[in-house]
Amino acid sequence: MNNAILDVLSETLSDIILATDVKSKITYCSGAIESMLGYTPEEVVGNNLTMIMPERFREMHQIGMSRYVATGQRTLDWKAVEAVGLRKDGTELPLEISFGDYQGEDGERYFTGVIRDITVRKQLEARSQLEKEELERINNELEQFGYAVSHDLQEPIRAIYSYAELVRKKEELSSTTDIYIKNIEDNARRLEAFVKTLLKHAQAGRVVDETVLNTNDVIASVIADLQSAIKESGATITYDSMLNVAVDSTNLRQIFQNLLENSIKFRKAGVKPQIQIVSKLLYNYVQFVVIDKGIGMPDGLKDTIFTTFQRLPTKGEYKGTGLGLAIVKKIVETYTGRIGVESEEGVGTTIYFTLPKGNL
Amino acid sequence: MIPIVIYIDDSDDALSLASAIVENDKRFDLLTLRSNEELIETLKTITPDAAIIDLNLGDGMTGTILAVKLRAAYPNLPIAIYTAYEKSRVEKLVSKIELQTGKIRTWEKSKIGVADLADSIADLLKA
Repeated sequence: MNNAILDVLSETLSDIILATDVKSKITYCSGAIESMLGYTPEEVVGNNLTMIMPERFREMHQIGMSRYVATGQRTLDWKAVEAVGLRKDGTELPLEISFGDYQGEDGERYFTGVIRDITVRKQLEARSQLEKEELERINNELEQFGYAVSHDLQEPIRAIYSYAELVRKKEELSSTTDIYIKNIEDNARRLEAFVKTLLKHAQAGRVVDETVLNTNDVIASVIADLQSAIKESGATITYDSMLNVAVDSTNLRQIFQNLLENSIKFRKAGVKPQIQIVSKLLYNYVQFVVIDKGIGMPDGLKDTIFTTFQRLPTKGEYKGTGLGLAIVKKIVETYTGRIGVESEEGVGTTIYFTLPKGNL
Repeated sequence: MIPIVIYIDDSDDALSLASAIVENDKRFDLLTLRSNEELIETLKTITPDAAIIDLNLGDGMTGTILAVKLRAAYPNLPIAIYTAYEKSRVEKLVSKIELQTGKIRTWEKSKIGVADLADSIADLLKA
Protein backbone atom coordinates (compact mmCIF):
# COMPACT_ATOMS: atom_id res chain seq x y z
CA MET A 1 0.00 0.00 0.00
CA ASN A 2 1.45 3.38 -0.87
CA ASN A 3 1.71 6.30 1.48
CA ALA A 4 -1.06 8.28 -0.26
CA ILE A 5 -3.61 5.57 0.49
CA LEU A 6 -2.38 5.32 4.08
CA ASP A 7 -2.71 9.08 4.47
CA VAL A 8 -6.29 9.07 3.14
CA LEU A 9 -7.19 6.11 5.35
CA SER A 10 -5.79 7.61 8.51
CA GLU A 11 -7.50 10.95 7.85
CA THR A 12 -10.90 9.54 6.98
CA LEU A 13 -11.21 6.83 9.66
CA SER A 14 -13.33 7.78 12.62
CA ASP A 15 -10.86 5.90 14.85
CA ILE A 16 -7.70 7.72 15.95
CA ILE A 17 -4.47 6.22 14.67
CA LEU A 18 -1.36 7.31 16.56
CA ALA A 19 2.22 6.34 17.14
CA THR A 20 4.51 6.95 20.10
CA ASP A 21 8.13 6.33 20.94
CA VAL A 22 9.24 4.15 23.85
CA LYS A 23 8.84 7.08 26.25
CA SER A 24 5.18 7.47 25.14
CA LYS A 25 5.91 10.70 23.25
CA ILE A 26 3.35 11.00 20.46
CA THR A 27 5.09 10.96 17.10
CA TYR A 28 2.06 10.75 14.82
CA CYS A 29 -1.67 11.29 15.26
CA SER A 30 -4.51 11.15 12.73
CA GLY A 31 -7.17 13.83 12.30
CA ALA A 32 -9.93 11.83 14.02
CA ILE A 33 -8.56 13.08 17.35
CA GLU A 34 -10.20 16.44 16.71
CA SER A 35 -13.78 15.19 16.75
CA MET A 36 -13.12 12.55 19.40
CA LEU A 37 -10.98 14.41 21.95
CA GLY A 38 -11.06 18.08 20.87
CA TYR A 39 -7.30 18.37 20.13
CA THR A 40 -5.76 18.93 16.72
CA PRO A 41 -3.03 16.44 15.75
CA GLU A 42 -0.51 19.29 16.01
CA GLU A 43 -1.51 19.90 19.63
CA VAL A 44 -0.68 16.35 20.69
CA VAL A 45 2.30 15.39 18.54
CA GLY A 46 5.45 15.87 20.59
CA ASN A 47 3.54 15.54 23.86
CA ASN A 48 3.25 12.50 26.14
CA LEU A 49 0.41 10.06 25.51
CA THR A 50 -0.68 10.51 29.10
CA MET A 51 -2.17 13.90 28.14
CA ILE A 52 -5.21 12.08 26.77
CA MET A 53 -5.56 9.93 29.92
CA PRO A 54 -7.21 10.96 33.18
CA GLU A 55 -4.65 11.77 35.89
CA ARG A 56 -5.42 8.59 37.88
CA PHE A 57 -4.25 6.27 35.08
CA ARG A 58 -1.03 8.05 34.12
CA GLU A 59 1.38 6.53 36.63
CA MET A 60 0.14 3.01 35.91
CA HIS A 61 0.67 3.60 32.18
CA GLN A 62 4.24 4.78 32.68
CA ILE A 63 5.06 1.82 34.92
CA GLY A 64 3.54 -0.66 32.44
CA MET A 65 5.36 0.86 29.46
CA SER A 66 8.75 0.95 31.24
CA ARG A 67 8.35 -2.68 32.26
CA TYR A 68 7.45 -3.73 28.72
CA VAL A 69 10.35 -1.84 27.17
CA ALA A 70 12.76 -3.34 29.73
CA THR A 71 11.47 -6.90 29.90
CA GLY A 72 9.07 -7.46 26.98
CA GLN A 73 6.46 -8.46 29.53
CA ARG A 74 2.95 -7.23 28.71
CA THR A 75 0.68 -6.32 31.59
CA LEU A 76 -2.45 -6.29 29.46
CA ASP A 77 -3.91 -7.69 26.28
CA TRP A 78 -2.99 -5.47 23.32
CA LYS A 79 -6.21 -6.02 21.40
CA ALA A 80 -9.41 -4.11 22.12
CA VAL A 81 -8.42 -2.93 25.59
CA GLU A 82 -11.10 -0.83 27.25
CA ALA A 83 -9.77 2.37 28.74
CA VAL A 84 -10.87 5.83 29.81
CA GLY A 85 -9.86 8.83 27.69
CA LEU A 86 -9.60 12.50 28.58
CA ARG A 87 -10.89 15.21 26.20
CA LYS A 88 -9.32 18.63 25.88
CA ASP A 89 -12.26 20.09 27.81
CA GLY A 90 -11.52 17.78 30.78
CA THR A 91 -14.44 15.43 30.25
CA GLU A 92 -13.90 11.70 30.08
CA LEU A 93 -15.09 9.07 27.61
CA PRO A 94 -14.84 5.29 27.24
CA LEU A 95 -12.33 4.11 24.63
CA GLU A 96 -11.24 0.86 23.10
CA ILE A 97 -7.58 0.70 22.15
CA SER A 98 -5.58 -1.82 20.12
CA PHE A 99 -1.79 -1.59 20.30
CA GLY A 100 1.07 -2.69 18.13
CA ASP A 101 4.80 -2.04 17.93
CA TYR A 102 7.38 -1.80 15.17
CA GLN A 103 10.98 -0.85 14.51
CA GLY A 104 11.41 2.44 12.67
CA GLU A 105 13.89 3.22 9.91
CA ASP A 106 16.00 4.97 12.54
CA GLY A 107 16.32 1.64 14.39
CA GLU A 108 14.20 2.90 17.28
CA ARG A 109 11.15 1.10 18.54
CA TYR A 110 7.73 2.71 18.16
CA PHE A 111 4.24 1.85 19.33
CA THR A 112 1.01 2.26 17.39
CA GLY A 113 -2.48 2.59 18.71
CA VAL A 114 -5.94 2.52 17.16
CA ILE A 115 -8.35 4.33 19.46
CA ARG A 116 -12.12 3.97 19.15
CA ASP A 117 -14.83 5.94 20.95
CA ILE A 118 -17.17 3.35 22.50
CA THR A 119 -19.55 5.77 24.26
CA VAL A 120 -22.58 4.57 22.29
CA ARG A 121 -21.70 0.91 22.80
CA LYS A 122 -21.30 1.46 26.55
CA GLN A 123 -24.64 3.25 26.72
CA LEU A 124 -26.30 0.37 24.87
CA GLU A 125 -24.63 -2.14 27.19
CA ALA A 126 -25.79 -0.23 30.24
CA ARG A 127 -29.33 0.01 28.87
CA SER A 128 -29.37 -3.65 27.97
CA GLN A 129 -28.17 -4.52 31.50
CA LEU A 130 -30.96 -2.39 32.98
CA GLU A 131 -33.51 -4.05 30.71
CA LYS A 132 -32.19 -7.47 31.69
CA GLU A 133 -32.54 -6.66 35.39
CA GLU A 134 -36.04 -5.28 34.83
CA LEU A 135 -37.00 -8.41 32.91
CA GLU A 136 -35.65 -10.61 35.70
CA ARG A 137 -37.61 -8.61 38.26
CA ILE A 138 -40.84 -8.93 36.27
CA ASN A 139 -40.23 -12.65 35.77
CA ASN A 140 -39.69 -13.15 39.48
CA GLU A 141 -42.85 -11.24 40.31
CA LEU A 142 -44.82 -13.26 37.79
CA GLU A 143 -43.45 -16.48 39.19
CA GLN A 144 -44.35 -15.47 42.74
CA PHE A 145 -47.79 -14.33 41.58
CA GLY A 146 -48.41 -17.64 39.82
CA TYR A 147 -47.26 -19.53 42.87
CA ALA A 148 -49.39 -17.52 45.30
CA VAL A 149 -52.49 -17.70 43.13
CA SER A 150 -52.28 -21.39 42.43
CA HIS A 151 -51.45 -22.28 46.01
CA ASP A 152 -54.27 -20.17 47.45
CA LEU A 153 -56.76 -21.52 44.91
CA GLN A 154 -56.29 -25.07 46.10
CA GLU A 155 -57.99 -24.60 49.47
CA PRO A 156 -61.38 -23.38 48.17
CA ILE A 157 -61.36 -25.97 45.39
CA ARG A 158 -60.75 -28.70 47.94
CA ALA A 159 -63.59 -27.31 50.03
CA ILE A 160 -65.95 -27.49 47.03
CA TYR A 161 -65.38 -31.16 46.23
CA SER A 162 -65.11 -32.15 49.88
CA TYR A 163 -68.47 -30.62 50.79
CA ALA A 164 -70.02 -32.11 47.66
CA GLU A 165 -68.65 -35.47 48.77
CA LEU A 166 -70.01 -34.91 52.29
CA VAL A 167 -73.47 -34.13 50.93
CA ARG A 168 -73.46 -37.34 48.88
CA LYS A 169 -72.21 -39.31 51.86
CA LYS A 170 -74.55 -37.95 54.50
CA GLU A 171 -77.78 -37.07 52.68
CA GLU A 172 -80.42 -39.14 50.99
CA LEU A 173 -80.33 -37.83 47.43
CA SER A 174 -82.46 -38.46 44.38
CA SER A 175 -80.48 -40.12 41.60
CA THR A 176 -80.46 -36.90 39.57
CA THR A 177 -79.17 -34.80 42.46
CA ASP A 178 -76.57 -37.44 43.14
CA ILE A 179 -75.30 -37.11 39.56
CA TYR A 180 -75.26 -33.31 39.79
CA ILE A 181 -73.31 -33.39 43.01
CA LYS A 182 -70.94 -35.96 41.53
CA ASN A 183 -70.41 -33.60 38.59
CA ILE A 184 -69.50 -30.79 41.00
CA GLU A 185 -66.97 -33.12 42.61
CA ASP A 186 -65.47 -34.22 39.30
CA ASN A 187 -65.15 -30.68 37.98
CA ALA A 188 -63.59 -29.40 41.18
CA ARG A 189 -61.11 -32.30 41.09
CA ARG A 190 -60.19 -31.48 37.51
CA LEU A 191 -59.76 -27.85 38.47
CA GLU A 192 -57.54 -28.92 41.35
CA ALA A 193 -55.38 -31.01 39.02
CA PHE A 194 -55.04 -28.02 36.71
CA VAL A 195 -54.09 -25.67 39.55
CA LYS A 196 -51.52 -28.20 40.78
CA THR A 197 -49.95 -28.23 37.32
CA LEU A 198 -49.96 -24.43 37.29
CA LEU A 199 -48.14 -24.55 40.59
CA LYS A 200 -45.60 -26.93 39.10
CA HIS A 201 -45.15 -24.57 36.16
CA ALA A 202 -44.54 -21.66 38.56
CA GLN A 203 -41.98 -23.76 40.41
CA ALA A 204 -40.35 -25.31 37.33
CA GLY A 205 -36.66 -24.56 37.09
CA ARG A 206 -36.43 -23.41 40.69
CA VAL A 207 -33.30 -25.02 42.08
CA VAL A 208 -33.97 -26.56 45.46
CA ASP A 209 -31.49 -29.38 45.60
CA GLU A 210 -27.99 -29.04 44.12
CA THR A 211 -27.01 -32.67 44.47
CA VAL A 212 -25.83 -34.23 41.24
CA LEU A 213 -27.89 -37.34 40.89
CA ASN A 214 -27.90 -40.53 39.04
CA THR A 215 -30.16 -40.15 35.99
CA ASN A 216 -30.94 -43.88 35.95
CA ASP A 217 -32.24 -43.67 39.53
CA VAL A 218 -34.46 -40.72 38.65
CA ILE A 219 -35.94 -42.49 35.62
CA ALA A 220 -36.48 -45.67 37.64
CA SER A 221 -38.34 -43.74 40.32
CA VAL A 222 -40.49 -41.91 37.73
CA ILE A 223 -41.36 -45.28 36.17
CA ALA A 224 -42.28 -46.59 39.61
CA ASP A 225 -44.61 -43.60 40.10
CA LEU A 226 -46.22 -44.20 36.70
CA GLN A 227 -46.73 -47.90 37.40
CA SER A 228 -50.52 -47.85 37.22
CA ALA A 229 -50.55 -46.02 33.84
CA ILE A 230 -47.82 -48.34 32.55
CA LYS A 231 -49.73 -51.41 33.64
CA GLU A 232 -53.01 -50.17 32.22
CA SER A 233 -51.49 -49.36 28.82
CA GLY A 234 -49.05 -52.29 28.68
CA ALA A 235 -46.22 -49.81 27.98
CA THR A 236 -42.58 -50.85 27.82
CA ILE A 237 -39.96 -48.23 28.61
CA THR A 238 -36.36 -49.02 27.70
CA TYR A 239 -33.24 -47.09 28.62
CA ASP A 240 -29.60 -48.03 28.87
CA SER A 241 -27.01 -46.52 31.14
CA MET A 242 -27.95 -42.84 31.13
CA LEU A 243 -25.42 -40.02 31.45
CA ASN A 244 -25.71 -37.88 34.58
CA VAL A 245 -26.63 -34.20 34.57
CA ALA A 246 -26.16 -31.31 36.99
CA VAL A 247 -29.86 -30.66 37.51
CA ASP A 248 -32.04 -30.37 40.61
CA SER A 249 -33.73 -33.70 41.37
CA THR A 250 -37.30 -32.31 41.39
CA ASN A 251 -36.69 -30.67 38.02
CA LEU A 252 -35.18 -33.78 36.42
CA ARG A 253 -38.07 -35.90 37.73
CA GLN A 254 -40.59 -33.46 36.31
CA ILE A 255 -39.00 -33.58 32.87
CA PHE A 256 -39.09 -37.36 32.59
CA GLN A 257 -42.47 -37.64 34.30
CA ASN A 258 -44.12 -35.23 31.84
CA LEU A 259 -42.48 -36.77 28.77
CA LEU A 260 -43.23 -40.38 29.72
CA GLU A 261 -46.80 -39.50 30.70
CA ASN A 262 -47.28 -37.91 27.27
CA SER A 263 -45.82 -40.90 25.45
CA ILE A 264 -48.19 -43.22 27.33
CA LYS A 265 -51.16 -40.89 26.99
CA PHE A 266 -50.84 -40.26 23.26
CA ARG A 267 -50.60 -43.93 22.27
CA LYS A 268 -52.31 -45.55 19.33
CA ALA A 269 -55.58 -47.22 20.23
CA GLY A 270 -55.03 -50.90 20.89
CA VAL A 271 -51.25 -50.70 20.58
CA LYS A 272 -48.96 -51.12 23.59
CA PRO A 273 -46.70 -48.07 23.80
CA GLN A 274 -42.98 -48.67 23.25
CA ILE A 275 -40.88 -45.86 24.62
CA GLN A 276 -37.12 -45.59 24.35
CA ILE A 277 -34.84 -43.14 26.15
CA VAL A 278 -31.25 -42.59 25.06
CA SER A 279 -28.55 -40.15 26.10
CA LYS A 280 -25.30 -38.97 24.54
CA LEU A 281 -22.66 -36.37 25.31
CA LEU A 282 -22.69 -33.14 23.28
CA TYR A 283 -19.78 -30.97 24.44
CA ASN A 284 -20.70 -29.81 27.96
CA TYR A 285 -24.27 -31.02 27.64
CA VAL A 286 -26.03 -34.34 27.69
CA GLN A 287 -28.60 -34.83 24.97
CA PHE A 288 -31.58 -36.98 25.89
CA VAL A 289 -33.93 -38.39 23.30
CA VAL A 290 -37.33 -39.80 24.21
CA ILE A 291 -38.81 -41.78 21.32
CA ASP A 292 -42.32 -43.18 21.12
CA LYS A 293 -44.37 -44.87 18.42
CA GLY A 294 -47.58 -43.16 19.41
CA ILE A 295 -50.16 -41.17 17.45
CA GLY A 296 -47.63 -38.46 16.52
CA MET A 297 -48.78 -35.00 15.60
CA PRO A 298 -49.51 -32.97 12.48
CA ASP A 299 -46.96 -30.38 11.32
CA GLY A 300 -48.99 -27.41 12.51
CA LEU A 301 -48.99 -28.58 16.10
CA LYS A 302 -45.24 -29.03 16.44
CA ASP A 303 -44.60 -25.29 16.64
CA THR A 304 -47.03 -24.77 19.47
CA ILE A 305 -46.70 -27.78 21.76
CA PHE A 306 -44.17 -26.11 24.04
CA THR A 307 -46.36 -23.05 24.51
CA THR A 308 -47.99 -22.44 27.87
CA PHE A 309 -51.76 -23.13 27.90
CA GLN A 310 -51.65 -24.85 24.55
CA ARG A 311 -54.41 -27.16 25.71
CA LEU A 312 -56.88 -26.39 28.41
CA PRO A 313 -58.42 -29.08 30.61
CA THR A 314 -60.77 -31.11 28.53
CA LYS A 315 -63.06 -33.99 29.07
CA GLY A 316 -62.07 -35.33 25.68
CA GLU A 317 -60.22 -38.46 24.78
CA TYR A 318 -56.83 -37.29 26.03
CA LYS A 319 -57.04 -35.56 29.37
CA GLY A 320 -54.43 -33.07 30.39
CA THR A 321 -53.68 -29.55 31.38
CA GLY A 322 -51.62 -28.69 28.32
CA LEU A 323 -48.84 -27.44 30.55
CA GLY A 324 -46.65 -30.56 30.64
CA LEU A 325 -44.36 -29.68 27.75
CA ALA A 326 -44.31 -26.00 28.73
CA ILE A 327 -43.00 -27.10 32.12
CA VAL A 328 -40.36 -29.31 30.50
CA LYS A 329 -39.26 -26.47 28.20
CA LYS A 330 -39.10 -24.00 31.09
CA ILE A 331 -36.88 -26.34 33.12
CA VAL A 332 -34.61 -27.19 30.18
CA GLU A 333 -34.14 -23.51 29.30
CA THR A 334 -33.49 -22.55 32.92
CA TYR A 335 -30.48 -24.84 32.68
CA THR A 336 -29.45 -23.22 29.35
CA GLY A 337 -30.46 -26.37 27.49
CA ARG A 338 -32.40 -26.71 24.23
CA ILE A 339 -35.50 -28.71 23.43
CA GLY A 340 -37.02 -29.81 20.15
CA VAL A 341 -39.46 -32.24 18.62
CA GLU A 342 -39.72 -34.45 15.57
CA SER A 343 -43.06 -36.04 14.93
CA GLU A 344 -45.08 -37.62 12.20
CA GLU A 345 -48.77 -38.21 12.47
CA GLY A 346 -49.46 -41.91 12.90
CA VAL A 347 -45.76 -42.78 13.22
CA GLY A 348 -44.62 -41.38 16.54
CA THR A 349 -42.95 -38.53 18.36
CA THR A 350 -39.34 -37.91 19.34
CA ILE A 351 -38.52 -35.26 21.90
CA TYR A 352 -34.89 -34.33 22.30
CA PHE A 353 -33.42 -31.96 24.87
CA THR A 354 -30.06 -31.05 26.38
CA LEU A 355 -29.04 -30.46 29.98
CA PRO A 356 -25.64 -29.54 31.43
CA LYS A 357 -23.55 -32.63 32.09
CA GLY A 358 -22.89 -33.76 35.65
CA ASN A 359 -20.24 -36.13 36.99
CA LEU A 360 -19.99 -38.70 34.25
CA MET B 1 -62.64 -41.11 77.95
CA ILE B 2 -62.81 -40.16 74.29
CA PRO B 3 -59.35 -39.13 73.04
CA ILE B 4 -58.90 -35.46 72.16
CA VAL B 5 -57.25 -34.61 68.85
CA ILE B 6 -56.23 -31.01 68.28
CA TYR B 7 -56.14 -29.58 64.76
CA ILE B 8 -54.30 -26.27 64.23
CA ASP B 9 -54.80 -24.43 60.94
CA ASP B 10 -54.93 -20.71 60.13
CA SER B 11 -57.74 -21.27 57.64
CA ASP B 12 -61.26 -21.22 59.10
CA ASP B 13 -62.48 -23.02 55.99
CA ALA B 14 -60.03 -25.87 56.49
CA LEU B 15 -61.03 -26.19 60.17
CA SER B 16 -64.78 -26.15 59.38
CA LEU B 17 -64.31 -28.73 56.66
CA ALA B 18 -62.37 -31.10 58.92
CA SER B 19 -64.99 -30.69 61.65
CA ALA B 20 -67.76 -31.47 59.16
CA ILE B 21 -65.94 -34.54 57.89
CA VAL B 22 -65.36 -36.16 61.29
CA GLU B 23 -68.61 -34.95 62.85
CA ASN B 24 -70.33 -37.69 64.91
CA ASP B 25 -67.26 -39.93 64.85
CA LYS B 26 -67.28 -41.64 68.22
CA ARG B 27 -63.60 -42.59 68.22
CA PHE B 28 -62.29 -39.11 69.11
CA ASP B 29 -63.17 -35.46 69.65
CA LEU B 30 -61.63 -33.03 67.18
CA LEU B 31 -60.75 -29.68 68.71
CA THR B 32 -60.04 -27.07 66.05
CA LEU B 33 -57.66 -24.22 66.83
CA ARG B 34 -57.05 -21.13 64.73
CA SER B 35 -53.64 -20.02 65.96
CA ASN B 36 -50.62 -20.66 68.11
CA GLU B 37 -52.18 -18.36 70.76
CA GLU B 38 -55.37 -20.43 70.84
CA LEU B 39 -53.24 -23.55 71.16
CA ILE B 40 -51.30 -22.19 74.15
CA GLU B 41 -54.55 -21.17 75.85
CA THR B 42 -56.08 -24.62 75.22
CA LEU B 43 -53.06 -26.53 76.50
CA LYS B 44 -53.51 -24.86 79.91
CA THR B 45 -56.58 -27.01 80.50
CA ILE B 46 -56.40 -29.90 78.06
CA THR B 47 -53.88 -32.63 77.33
CA PRO B 48 -54.15 -33.70 73.70
CA ASP B 49 -53.90 -37.33 72.58
CA ALA B 50 -52.83 -36.44 69.04
CA ALA B 51 -52.18 -33.31 66.98
CA ILE B 52 -52.78 -32.38 63.36
CA ILE B 53 -50.93 -29.28 62.18
CA ASP B 54 -51.13 -27.25 59.01
CA LEU B 55 -47.73 -26.38 57.53
CA ASN B 56 -48.21 -22.62 57.07
CA LEU B 57 -49.79 -21.11 60.15
CA GLY B 58 -49.26 -17.44 59.27
CA ASP B 59 -47.28 -14.92 61.34
CA GLY B 60 -44.12 -16.82 60.48
CA MET B 61 -45.14 -19.82 62.57
CA THR B 62 -44.77 -23.10 60.72
CA GLY B 63 -46.21 -26.51 61.42
CA THR B 64 -42.74 -27.96 61.75
CA ILE B 65 -41.71 -25.47 64.48
CA LEU B 66 -44.95 -26.18 66.31
CA ALA B 67 -44.35 -29.92 65.99
CA VAL B 68 -40.94 -29.55 67.61
CA LYS B 69 -42.46 -27.53 70.48
CA LEU B 70 -45.33 -29.96 71.00
CA ARG B 71 -43.03 -32.98 71.03
CA ALA B 72 -40.82 -31.21 73.56
CA ALA B 73 -43.84 -30.76 75.83
CA TYR B 74 -45.48 -34.13 75.06
CA PRO B 75 -42.75 -36.56 73.93
CA ASN B 76 -45.13 -39.34 72.84
CA LEU B 77 -47.76 -37.19 71.16
CA PRO B 78 -48.71 -38.56 67.72
CA ILE B 79 -48.42 -35.73 65.18
CA ALA B 80 -49.42 -35.35 61.55
CA ILE B 81 -48.51 -32.40 59.34
CA TYR B 82 -51.60 -31.75 57.22
CA THR B 83 -50.72 -29.76 54.13
CA ALA B 84 -51.93 -28.49 50.79
CA TYR B 85 -48.39 -28.88 49.45
CA GLU B 86 -47.36 -32.03 47.68
CA LYS B 87 -45.98 -34.63 50.05
CA SER B 88 -42.72 -34.90 48.12
CA ARG B 89 -42.00 -31.21 48.74
CA VAL B 90 -42.85 -31.35 52.43
CA GLU B 91 -41.14 -34.62 53.32
CA LYS B 92 -37.67 -33.03 53.11
CA LEU B 93 -38.73 -30.37 55.65
CA VAL B 94 -40.33 -32.94 57.91
CA SER B 95 -37.41 -35.35 57.75
CA LYS B 96 -35.14 -32.55 59.01
CA ILE B 97 -37.14 -32.09 62.23
CA GLU B 98 -37.72 -35.81 62.68
CA LEU B 99 -34.09 -36.11 63.80
CA GLN B 100 -35.18 -34.01 66.77
CA THR B 101 -38.74 -35.12 67.27
CA GLY B 102 -39.00 -38.69 66.07
CA LYS B 103 -41.61 -39.87 63.55
CA ILE B 104 -44.10 -37.36 62.23
CA ARG B 105 -46.69 -38.19 59.59
CA THR B 106 -47.31 -36.09 56.51
CA TRP B 107 -50.82 -35.93 55.09
CA GLU B 108 -51.73 -34.23 51.84
CA LYS B 109 -55.02 -32.37 52.12
CA SER B 110 -56.03 -33.37 48.61
CA LYS B 111 -55.43 -37.05 49.33
CA ILE B 112 -56.75 -37.43 52.87
CA GLY B 113 -60.25 -35.98 52.95
CA VAL B 114 -63.88 -36.95 53.26
CA ALA B 115 -63.31 -40.63 52.57
CA ASP B 116 -60.51 -41.24 55.03
CA LEU B 117 -59.73 -38.34 57.37
CA ALA B 118 -61.60 -39.94 60.29
CA ASP B 119 -59.89 -43.32 59.79
CA SER B 120 -56.51 -41.62 59.41
CA ILE B 121 -57.03 -39.78 62.72
CA ALA B 122 -58.09 -43.00 64.44
CA ASP B 123 -54.96 -44.64 63.06
CA LEU B 124 -52.79 -41.72 64.23
CA LEU B 125 -54.13 -42.20 67.75
CA LYS B 126 -52.75 -45.74 67.78
CA ALA B 127 -49.21 -44.49 67.05
